[in-house]
Amino acid sequence: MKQVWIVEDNRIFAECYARFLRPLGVQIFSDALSAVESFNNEIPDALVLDILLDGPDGFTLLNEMASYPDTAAIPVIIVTSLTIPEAGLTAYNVKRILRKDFLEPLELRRAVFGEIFKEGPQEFFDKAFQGFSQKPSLEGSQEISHA
Amino acid sequence: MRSEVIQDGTLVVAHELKQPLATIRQLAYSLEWAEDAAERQEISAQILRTATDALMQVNALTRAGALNRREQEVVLEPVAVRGICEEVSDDLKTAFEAREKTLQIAYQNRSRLVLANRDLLKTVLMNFCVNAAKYSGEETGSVLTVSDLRRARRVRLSVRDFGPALPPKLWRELSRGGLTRPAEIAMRPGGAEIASSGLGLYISSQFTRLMHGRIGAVRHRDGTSFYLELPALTQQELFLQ
Repeated sequence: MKQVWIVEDNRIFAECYARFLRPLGVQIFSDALSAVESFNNEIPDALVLDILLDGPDGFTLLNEMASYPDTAAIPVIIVTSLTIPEAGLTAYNVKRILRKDFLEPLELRRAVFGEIFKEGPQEFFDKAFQGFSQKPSLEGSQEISHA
Repeated sequence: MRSEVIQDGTLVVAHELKQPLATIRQLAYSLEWAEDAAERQEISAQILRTATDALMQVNALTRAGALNRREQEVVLEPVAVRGICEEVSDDLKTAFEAREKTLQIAYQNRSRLVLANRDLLKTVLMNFCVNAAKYSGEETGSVLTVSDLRRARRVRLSVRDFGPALPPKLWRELSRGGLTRPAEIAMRPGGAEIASSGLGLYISSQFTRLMHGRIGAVRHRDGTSFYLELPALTQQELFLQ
């Protein structure tokens, strides 16, 4: 099963993201340090990252990840309430920056599944809802261009 | 200068209210993505808790505003500490249980009286306890301690949490006698369900000042004790009045 790590210090938000990313395997980390420790055992297929964290922030984690070839290859989706410029973050394999306050479940799902499966929208959308008896509709959702 | 203060205060309030609103929004989406009825029930309870905490904060803020503008009078009266602590404990029982936390009360003297405003004192204690429930790690207990400071003729009501360390800047502000404006409050690092700008502490600080008390905090290696000290009263003093 594909693995996504969520690095988010707000437990409720982290649990919401985990729900939105079902049926992927999800691990939640409340701080950057515990995520770095876990890189010794496993490398996830994608990482959902908040920037304002307890202890070292998301940028510190991105720097750490970029310094090792295996972790540098992990696609990162940033979900933050900060306004941060995209320029320069592509070097850290940041694929999307999503607005935390107004995050739509499908927006997060599309971003993560899009990076993991690297296929056309319909294919990854079908995969995203594999196993669901009722698929939420794409109607009204916003098409987001890749960074 | 004054407009800057107001503006900064407004930003803090906006931040404080934005957090629960954003949380409720995500939880509302989550209802659609819940796997079963039990998960939906848990999400509904989280929505309710988040909304209740935010409303309590807004109510206290409105009250603080009215008191600062002297639209309401602060009536100080003898208050039995034990009664108020038990009221707080009863009111927060469900909130603590829902978070799988406990709240214990430890008395040095069960019959202690203080000079206070009942509503304001209860609001401050509720605020300390709710923060302790939010910030403490999983399966931890918070302790509300009532102790005598005999030489100072004061009673200290202290709430111990097991959350992230209090930033030194905020600790210093509290040690100097309380917070004078919300904009001076440093962000307390995460670990909480709702990240806080410290607005609750500012309100508690204002309320304590209006009761001629003082607020403070003790930093521990594994958490913080927030306390307020109020003038102690004895039954003998009241009898002679």
